[in-house]
Amino acid sequence: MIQLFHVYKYYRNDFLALEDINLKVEKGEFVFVTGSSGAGKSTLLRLLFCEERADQGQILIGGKNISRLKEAQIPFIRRDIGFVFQDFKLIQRKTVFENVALPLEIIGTSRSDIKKRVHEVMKNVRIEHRKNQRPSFLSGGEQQRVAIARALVNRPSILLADEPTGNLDEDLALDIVDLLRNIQTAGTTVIVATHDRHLFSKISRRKLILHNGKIVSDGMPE
Amino acid sequence: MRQFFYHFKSAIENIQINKMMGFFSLFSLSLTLMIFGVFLLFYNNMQGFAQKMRESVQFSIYLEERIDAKSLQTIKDTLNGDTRIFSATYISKEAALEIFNESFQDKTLIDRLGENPLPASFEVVVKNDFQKVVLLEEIINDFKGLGGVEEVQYGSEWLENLNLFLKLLQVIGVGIGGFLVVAIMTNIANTIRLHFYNRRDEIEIMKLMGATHGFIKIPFFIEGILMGIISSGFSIVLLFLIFYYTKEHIEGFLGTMGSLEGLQFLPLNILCALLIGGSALGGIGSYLSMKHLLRLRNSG
Repeated sequence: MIQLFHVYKYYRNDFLALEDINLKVEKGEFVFVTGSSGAGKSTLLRLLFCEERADQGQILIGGKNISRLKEAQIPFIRRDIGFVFQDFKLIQRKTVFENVALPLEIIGTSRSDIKKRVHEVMKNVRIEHRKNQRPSFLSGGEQQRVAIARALVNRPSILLADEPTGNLDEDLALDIVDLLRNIQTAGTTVIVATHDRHLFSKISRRKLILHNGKIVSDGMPE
Repeated sequence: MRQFFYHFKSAIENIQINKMMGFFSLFSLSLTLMIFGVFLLFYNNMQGFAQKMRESVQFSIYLEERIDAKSLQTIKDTLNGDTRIFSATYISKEAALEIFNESFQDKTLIDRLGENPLPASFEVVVKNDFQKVVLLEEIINDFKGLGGVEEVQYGSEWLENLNLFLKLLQVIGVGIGGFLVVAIMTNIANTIRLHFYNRRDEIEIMKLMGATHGFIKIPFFIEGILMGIISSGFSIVLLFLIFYYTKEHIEGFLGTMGSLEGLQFLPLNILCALLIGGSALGGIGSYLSMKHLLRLRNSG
């Protein structure tokens, strides 16, 4: 379970990116976070991923207060959270297989387990046929699949996706969202930040709307 | 162990990412280490030469001016009875004067002094087994205490000068060594820093995937050690080639000065020390560099 209590985040020049955020996301839930550019969607996700620190308030993930974590503890929190970045963040000189295997290499998984799990997750996101290619030879949709595969390979309990369909056409975007829904069905908590209203209007899931850093709406679509 | 292979592979990739840069850093490191190798080669040969000289020089027991017959006989008997002594030749004051006159063209030098100032002495040669400085000094000390002995001398002034020269070389060696240690560590640290900046995006991604600082640092640390080993090995090969092709010329030159039997390459233990030292410097250089870089990125 994810809980946020009175969370504030300021940037330089006292710009308030998030203001008094109170939020509760149950285990295995699927949540869309939406709003216009600069509304605070990405900041919210970055706080959950410990890429940024809250200036005020508390953030609890699985009962652990991550807003008070020491620098050295952050990598261990991240190992239980998959993050799909808007710009994919793939290592260009590594193959698809090596990119997907990276989180497992970091935690020291055995070679045979890495092979097994990477193949399994690549099969799930339908990118196995590209395993020996480098990311630069892949289309945007394929790179997004690789990024999702990498986020899922160490079976995280939470998956955060920042504009996962931002660079894709509508068909590919729906395909990626289907994939994320399947992941949620398997028990993973999924939080997707998107400004694509067209996308979430087609999918009936909890929607959180941010405006100028505040939650202005939170609930299931009618 | 499995992770070590992953880090090792990453370290090799680091060197290979920019082949030209990798080559030039390795080459400059090799040259720096080779300069130190040349110094070691020179020092080692000088030391060997000095050691030989020390061991081939025997000692002289100078007797007191008014030594009585009994003391003289005691010294003679002691020398004859000592199993470490190969030969002992008595040189009287008169014989010493004759030898002196033979050595100098000005035969009247001593005559002009009025009396013979040269002392009687024993010229002693020790057996081969005892021709070591430590053993030789032991024997000399035994004779120093005998009655009628004025002084025991071995070697000559130039040998003392040679010892002084070797000590000076040691000091210069420490100075050059210290300077080169700093140069090597700076070179490796700079190379690692460049490789780090080349891979900063990857490092950011790895951190986002849950990599600890240790996980990020290890490949760079291994890279530093590898660079140290490779450049040490390369410097040894370069040094050997230079030694091999210039040995005869140098020996010929030194031969005309009437000195060496033959130049020796560095012994195995010094070669191993160069390899280990090179790798250690590489490791330390990269460690210091990484510590600094990761601190910068944290605060950035």
